[in-house]
Amino acid sequence: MQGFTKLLLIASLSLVTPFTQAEDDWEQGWNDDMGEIPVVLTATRMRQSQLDTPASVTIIDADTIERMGFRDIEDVFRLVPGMLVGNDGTHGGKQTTVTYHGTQGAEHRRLQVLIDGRSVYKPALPSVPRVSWTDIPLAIEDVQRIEVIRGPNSAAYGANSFMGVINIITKRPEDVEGTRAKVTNGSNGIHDYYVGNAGKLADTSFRLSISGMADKGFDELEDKNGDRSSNRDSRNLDRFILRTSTDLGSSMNLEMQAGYKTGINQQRDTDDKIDYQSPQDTETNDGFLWTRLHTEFSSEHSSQFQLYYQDTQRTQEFRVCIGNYLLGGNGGLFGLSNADYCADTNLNGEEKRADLEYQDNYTWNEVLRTVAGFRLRREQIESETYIDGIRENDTRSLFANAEVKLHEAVTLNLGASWEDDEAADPFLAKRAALNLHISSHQVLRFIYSEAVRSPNIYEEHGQQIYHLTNASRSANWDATIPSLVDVPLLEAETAAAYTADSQIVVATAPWNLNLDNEKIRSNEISYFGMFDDGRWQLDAKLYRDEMYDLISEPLGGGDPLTNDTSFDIGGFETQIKWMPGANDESMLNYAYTNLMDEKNAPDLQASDNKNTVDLEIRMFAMHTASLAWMHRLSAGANTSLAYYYVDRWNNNYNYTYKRLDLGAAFLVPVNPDMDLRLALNIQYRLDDDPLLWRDNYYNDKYKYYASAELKF
Amino acid sequence: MELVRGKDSFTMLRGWLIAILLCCSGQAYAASVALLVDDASEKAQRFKEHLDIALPSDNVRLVTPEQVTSQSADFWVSTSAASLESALAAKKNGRILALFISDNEAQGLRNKYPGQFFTLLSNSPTIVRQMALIKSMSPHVERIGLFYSRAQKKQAEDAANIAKTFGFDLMTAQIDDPLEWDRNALNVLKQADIILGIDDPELYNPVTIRGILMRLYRSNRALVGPDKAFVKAGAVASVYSGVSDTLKAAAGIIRDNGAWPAIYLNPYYQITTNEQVARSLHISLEDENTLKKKVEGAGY
Repeated sequence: MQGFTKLLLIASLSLVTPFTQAEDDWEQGWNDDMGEIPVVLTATRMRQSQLDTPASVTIIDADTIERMGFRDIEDVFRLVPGMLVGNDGTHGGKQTTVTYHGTQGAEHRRLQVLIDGRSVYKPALPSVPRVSWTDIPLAIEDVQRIEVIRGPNSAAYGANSFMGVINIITKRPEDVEGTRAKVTNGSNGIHDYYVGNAGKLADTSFRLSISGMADKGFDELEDKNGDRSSNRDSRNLDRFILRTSTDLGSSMNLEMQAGYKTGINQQRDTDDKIDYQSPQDTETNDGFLWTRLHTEFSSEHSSQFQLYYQDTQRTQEFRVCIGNYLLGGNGGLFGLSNADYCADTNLNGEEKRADLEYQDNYTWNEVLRTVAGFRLRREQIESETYIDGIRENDTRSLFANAEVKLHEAVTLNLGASWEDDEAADPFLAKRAALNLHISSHQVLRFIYSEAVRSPNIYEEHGQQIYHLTNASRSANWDATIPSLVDVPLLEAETAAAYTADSQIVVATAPWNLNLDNEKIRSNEISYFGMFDDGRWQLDAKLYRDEMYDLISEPLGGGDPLTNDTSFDIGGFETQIKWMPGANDESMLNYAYTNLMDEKNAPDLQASDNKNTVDLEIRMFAMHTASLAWMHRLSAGANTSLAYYYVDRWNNNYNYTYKRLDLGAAFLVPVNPDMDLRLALNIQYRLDDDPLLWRDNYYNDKYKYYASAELKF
Repeated sequence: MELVRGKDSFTMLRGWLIAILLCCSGQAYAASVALLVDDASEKAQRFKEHLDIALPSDNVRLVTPEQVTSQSADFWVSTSAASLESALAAKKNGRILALFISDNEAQGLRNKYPGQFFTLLSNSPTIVRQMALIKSMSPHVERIGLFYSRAQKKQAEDAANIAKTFGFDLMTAQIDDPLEWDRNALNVLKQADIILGIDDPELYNPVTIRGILMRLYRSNRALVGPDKAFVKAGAVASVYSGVSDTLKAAAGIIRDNGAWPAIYLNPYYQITTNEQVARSLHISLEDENTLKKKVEGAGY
């Protein structure tokens, strides 16, 4: 009878066939036995597919970070084509600089970094890069995903998204659970810890972490004569981060975050004409409060409101003996030395920012989607040393981006942002990208964009005034030097004054410049394709960036800042991802970066200021490459291998950087509710060059660290 | 010669027998089919028209719950839980075929009316077909994650056996509160290449699906299943049996004079995909028809 049933069923097929074509018209309603299921914000709205983005993008997720055993967030960027990670010690500290395509190493100001939509690009103080990686309240264990937009993106993110944008997305409280406790120890005094806990209280999911890092930094630095001495660049920091998420009904989600970082970054003595009586170590405390309200009005319409406040306090107080220095090195004429005048001084500063942003996403139809919004920002800098008090800067911006599907195979992305900055001229940043879909999984992009970096408060209104307190003067000094002198200082080219009464040394007068925005015009042709069920991903980019009105002079005084530098950078870069099997994943990156000498670079070379040239080419490297391979042994256990290669880095020296990393991690079940993860990471340097700069030498070619982590 | 003649008459006899058999099998007999609908809406009317076409020799009429007690029929075909319940409550004679209700709803009514028998035409996509879809869609997938609520533990266990036949490594985790995932569940999400959604209304329902999909997107994982409506919501693909499939199957069952089982799995199905979701999760998808042919070609 079964066979007969089958026969009848087949027979009935022909009877129903005629109306299957019109099925959609009348089927509505019959399948919804589940009731109305909400269309979730599509993944594309959360993040565009790489096939549709108007830019080349590199994505690195938490799995990769964990499996590769990264300890510093900065190190991850070695896996991004064209990105360079170096340490600069110009100002005595050992701040890490991350750049895309190089240019300035010290005080790098051309890369935007956002953490959960909050900019950690600092507005003002000199002598640290504008993104001070060590001081960010962020634990690498809390990172979910990093998206690097390789190219200017002021049209979407406003000023300072100049050469590229790094978006760091941290783990949402809903996506983590339980407790993690981890300790890491290793060579160079590495001692890190992380304790995290996540859970739910009433309707609020929370994630809390307390973490810290310590290491001794580099071992040795080399002076101009090639003599090596030991370094003073260790760091020791602690962090606290709380993140919450609360669903307010079915269409609203409220998130909050609070974070704080405190710690000491050691600094070496920078000026051999001054006798330092105490170290110039910097204590940097960085805190922030952040909230975001996400509302879905319908499947086509959603909005996001974000507000944050952050406060960075830098305390750098030390005692100096500067008798001879104050007299422009002529102390000997009076029989005086540095020891005849000693005092306390500081390089303290505080930077605050409040930022409010509203963004509205709308899908108009199959063809058009838009994102538009506004941003209001206030920045405040307080420093008696650098700007002689308090200064504020307000910024207002409007932005709009549209994705237009002109044709099945053609997507046009148009974006613009208008920004009015008190300290700089208003500007309109633009971007147009045409994505030609060669096939369903291959795209060819043609991108043109314009972006700016606005000069910061210190660049425009800075000065250097050293307030000397608790002065101790020798009797010989008081007898020889009248209470008021006006002598040129040896170090500063601008006029300087010393007043014994007010105990102030004005190293530079306020420069009150009217600087223009730095500008970039970027032309890019790029390709992204996926093959073999997505197991191969190929990204390639050919570009030429014209940069002009650049401010290239060092910030420490000396030469007045100008917008006089311009040059082009061009090159080619590629990223290949290959997943040979479910347990293996590999990534190969290569970038060829060329400073285009033939056109504008002669301006740079002809500059009469060697410092300017030196600064602009310090982070350049002609060839950068990296290879990473991750192999999964079982859940939680894996091995990894990485090779990093930089050639012709820092054009003055043409350094190389070759490093081989090996990592392994194993999972030991302690009991059904507790796992122990043991990991080891070994780094081996294959060359003898310092890292970017002669201040950065390790004695040992090996660096290693091991961690033990309990999860329960 | 006689032998030959005898053979001829035997052939004739066989022809008659087949003819009689065909008559008895319902081709000639006009059965009365009561199509139970919540109300005589246009939607109901359209369904009736299509059922008329599928059962040309039968007499199909619309019956609302209020009319059930006063009517009789050979077959009662319900189109909702309420209309099915009206037939069960009225203890009607004749076979009852339930369409468009979930396995769970059907079980609830069986428990409520233990003496009443009905046949459920189940449109729930089978795990076998969903796994065949995953295999056809992403041949390199090795680890499938499956989440289930306490009530569906059996399904998860069955799925483990089915997974073996496909060579998949099935990782399962029980989720007691869809809003609060424990470490095991988060670990499955992290380890799995793709997530298979099963017919589990406690876990996958209009209230929870948003949170689940958002969580999956953040982890860069795609959901296959549990059904068509979830694909519209944001799952990447699913097998489903639509209205036409239901009609075909229902007509087939009504013409079947044999014993009806309690649950009849719909043999007809379609495949639906969400191209936008696939694209953003970097999954290369073939079109729905190609995928269907592949799944059918593999014998599912």
